[in-house]
Parts: sequence; structure tokens; C-alpha cells
Amino acid sequence: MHTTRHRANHWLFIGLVGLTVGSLLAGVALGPVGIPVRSMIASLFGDAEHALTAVQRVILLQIRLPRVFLGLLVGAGLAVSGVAMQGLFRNPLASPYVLGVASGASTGAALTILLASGIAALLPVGAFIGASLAVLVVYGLARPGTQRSSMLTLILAGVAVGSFFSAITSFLVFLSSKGEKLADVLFWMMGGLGRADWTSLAILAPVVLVCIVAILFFAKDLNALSLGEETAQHLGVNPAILYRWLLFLTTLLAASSVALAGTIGFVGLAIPHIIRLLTGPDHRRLIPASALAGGCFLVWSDLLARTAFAPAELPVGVITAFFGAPFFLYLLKARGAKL
Amino acid sequence: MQIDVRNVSFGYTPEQPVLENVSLTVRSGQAVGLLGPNGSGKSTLLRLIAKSLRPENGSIRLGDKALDRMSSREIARSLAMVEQQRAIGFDFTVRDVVGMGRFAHRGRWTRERKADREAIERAMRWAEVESLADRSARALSGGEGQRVFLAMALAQEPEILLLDEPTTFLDLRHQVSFLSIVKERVAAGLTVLLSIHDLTLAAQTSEEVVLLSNGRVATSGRPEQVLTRDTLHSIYHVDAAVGRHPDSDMLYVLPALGDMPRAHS
Repeated sequence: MHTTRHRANHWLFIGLVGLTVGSLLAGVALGPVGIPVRSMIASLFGDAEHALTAVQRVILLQIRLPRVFLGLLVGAGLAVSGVAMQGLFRNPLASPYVLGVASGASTGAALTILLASGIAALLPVGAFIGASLAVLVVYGLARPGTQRSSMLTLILAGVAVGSFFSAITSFLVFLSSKGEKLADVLFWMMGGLGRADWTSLAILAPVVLVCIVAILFFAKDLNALSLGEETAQHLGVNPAILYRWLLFLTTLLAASSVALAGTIGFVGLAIPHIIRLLTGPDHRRLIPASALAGGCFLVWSDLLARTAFAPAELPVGVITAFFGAPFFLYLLKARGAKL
Repeated sequence: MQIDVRNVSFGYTPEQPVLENVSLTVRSGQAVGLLGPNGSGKSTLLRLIAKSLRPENGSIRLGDKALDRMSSREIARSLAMVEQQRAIGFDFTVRDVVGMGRFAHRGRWTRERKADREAIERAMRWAEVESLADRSARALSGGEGQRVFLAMALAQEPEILLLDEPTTFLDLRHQVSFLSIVKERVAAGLTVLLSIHDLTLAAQTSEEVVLLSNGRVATSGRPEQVLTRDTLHSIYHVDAAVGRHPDSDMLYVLPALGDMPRAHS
């Protein structure tokens, strides 16, 4: 049984890596302008006859590729941050947004759109500052120590601060009730990968990769923590260090992802559950598998978002929730709801 | 490995001390029973020794090391604890849970080595949970669950084992089997400090017992010295017959129901 589970996981990872490569290719090939994979290969090997046209080349390198990479990174970031939050709070309802990241980022983004809508590069900065500020307020209020009770305080403070920031955002939206900016704010809040470019990727990629590896470093600690804080400590975990680092890493991961792609819902909550059903609860497998699955899920959702009503583009958050939630519910029912 | 508790005081709030000036020694390879009424501070004392709590005053040593100078990881390599409450956040198998006992012995990135596997298998054999290995650790009866957590503690290969009322929720058969396993480990050199309410089982399991009352050590010594009718009357306010079984010569405590003298309040 143990070895069969191991072998099954082996295949799961091969499948997920294959799926990631497939998603990458599909994500760059499909769209209003088709870019055949054959032509990409031809260009790569200097086959001028079948190579990409100049237009295809620009679309591929400047639009599609950054967009797909952004999808992979943000999906991975949100999913892993969800895994860590659920492990840390030992609560299957936890998501990357429990500590107010999403509401804070929305407020920051709304402020930036209203005050400096001309400078597109400022938007992620504003969102990141808003997200960090919200989480700092939550920490300041709850002062997480090492006791379980203070983790509950942390969740409650997250809910309260989240509502407060949402109120500010709504107020800003109310103030700006002049068409275009309002639509910008709402569109940002529903999430999208449309702002992808190589500069933002160059910042996001190292942050996401370092954070995921660092969270993986605490995988066994998270396993032990599922037996309760005190038992984990008796096994040799240092809960104070674990909480401090993981709260920092998950916040950084979620805030960076949200800053570039808006508050995409559902990925951080559901991908960990779906993958847990496949790999079991061991965080050493759950973290990397969720990273890959979250990335693929977001790339395919984005593909659907930009092709379903082309040339109009749906916010990707609509897709992630619209298709993800029923699938998640189906899995829960099919697998006997073993969360 | 020896446990030394010297003049330890502790309170969850400053106004209400739970332990006052408690001292006790558990010698290496010895089993000591921690007795006393509810609220006398047994669990608190065990949690202090496991460093889940820090004493306000006094010192605790494990072997020749001061507890406050040891990291969680260092402590976990020589001391394991089976707690009263259990919660399993996710759907781990029994073997996964027992394997977590190896946390302090393994590097963060290393795979399970042969020594780990052997320790896990040995612990599961000792605690008689081999047949449960692939079951979900969430779907166990009280007796099974308690043995699984004992197996996890034994997989730590500790020199000291702390047990906090390990038999409270077990039926008679599982109480006996659990304590027999513990006794076997003590015979093999394990140092054990266990809190327990059943005085007859305590007398059979422990070489010495320590009787706590209102956060202080009321008396300690060999079970037959401590468990006397007068002592039980003054600590538990219960009239109990203490005797020895005519065949096995085992000490038993037989509380009498009936007119209870009121606890002084």
C-alpha cells in the first residue's frame, strides 16, 4: 500500500510536469491569432520557410509568453500560499486571503487607479503596499505569539481588517462613480493576467520561486503541526519560528501574486484541496504538486477568459470560480468529502 | 536519562499559582507515577518538563543539561510525550503519524533512511499497531488512537517518556495492555513519568509515586508508603481500603462509596 501510493505519486508528478508543458504550449499557441507550435519549432531551428511571421513573433514574445508565465507563477503562488495557510491554521477554510491580503491590495489598487491612473507601472506597487499594510495591521492587532488562541485572534483580526479595507475600497469606488475608472477598479479586483510583461516577471519569478522553496523547507514542520501545536513541539518543531516564517512567506507570496494579477479567487482555496485528494496530506508532495496544478489551472482559465468572448476578455477570476467551484464540489462528493 | 525538577513554581496567571516549589527526581530507567486530585498540577508539571511551558522559578534538568538551554529539536531527541488531547488536522495514515516521531532525527531534505524505517517499524510492533498502518489516523477507536500516539512517541527513540493520563479514556483491557507495553519499555531502560488517576494501576506500574496536592508535593516514595488510608483520606477526602492481594501480593486501593466527607472549601 505504501509503495503503491509512492508509485502513484511518482506518476502524478510526471503527469503534472507534462500538463505544465502542455499548458505552456497551449497558452502561447491558442488565441485570436493562432501561433502553430510547428512554426515555433521551425523558428527555433532557423527553418525560414515555416518560421513565424513578424507579427506572430511579437505576439508570442511580447504578449503570450509573458502572460502564460505570469499565469504559471501567480497560480503557483496562490496555491502554495493556500497550502501553507491551511496547514498553519489547521483549517481547510483558510486561503491566502485570510489575513486581509486581497482587501488591502484592492484598496491600494483602487487608490492608485484614482490618483495616478496614467502610470500603469504604479498599479502593482500600490496593490502590494495595500496588501502589506493590511497584513501589518492584522499582525499589530493580533500580536501572534505561539499559542493556538492567538492564531484564532489572527483570523478574526484578518476578517475585521479585511472588512474595513473593503469599506474603504467601496467608498473610493463611490467617490469615483465616473465610468472608466470605476470599471478599471472592478476589473482589477476580478483579476486578470493582461498586464503581464517581462519586467514584472523578472521581479515576480524570483520572489515566487524562493518563497515556494522556503515553504517547502518547512514541509515536515507543517505535517507535524497537523497533530497540534504542542505535539508538534514535542516532536521537535519550534512553533514560534515556524509561525513567524510561514506567515511572512505566505503573505509575501500572496501579496506579490495579487499585486500583478488582481484578487483571483478560488485558486488558493481549492487547488490545495483537490491536490490533497490526489497526493494525501503530506506537505512534501502537496506543496510542489499544488504549485504545478495551480499554475496550469490559471493558464487554462486565462486561455478560456481571453478566447470565449474574443475580442472581449473576461476577468480570469470569473472563470476560476465558475468552473473551479463545481469541479471542486464534484470531487468532494466523489471522494467522500475527506478534507 | 534522569529528570531533575528543583523548586519549580508556575502559574498561568500571576494571582493563581498552579505549582509551588515542586521538586522531584526520576532516576534513569525508573517509572514514577504522578498522582493527585484533578487540578493538583500534574499535567502542568509534565508540560513544564516537556518545555511547553516555562517555569517562573526553579530549574529543570534532563540528564546533565538544563532544559532552558535545550532547543525543541534537542529535547525531542531525548524526551517524548503522549498527551491527553488529540487532534489530527489532515487525513494522515497511522504510519505517517508514527513516522512523524522521526522529525527531530531527520534532516529537512533527506528521505527516510534505514534507521528511521527500523525505528518506526519497531515502535509500531511494540505498541501493537502494525495492523493499523494503512488506516486513517482519524478513524481509530480510543484505545487504538492512544497506542498510535504511543508508537509515535517510541519512534522518537526517547530516553524519557512522559505520559499524561494515558489510560483515562481506555477500557480495562486497553488500560492493561497500554501499561504493560510501557512497563516492558521501562524494563528495557526507558525513564517514565506518568500521571494517572487509577491508584491500583499506578502502584503496579510505578516504582515510586509522587502525590501532588494543590500544586505542592504532598508526599512521595514507594507506592505502599504513599498510598495509605490516612494519606488518601487527607488528599482525596475519600475513605479507601488499601491492601494486598492474597495471591499476587499486589497493592490495591479500594475506595468505598457512601458518605463522603465534604471537601474543605
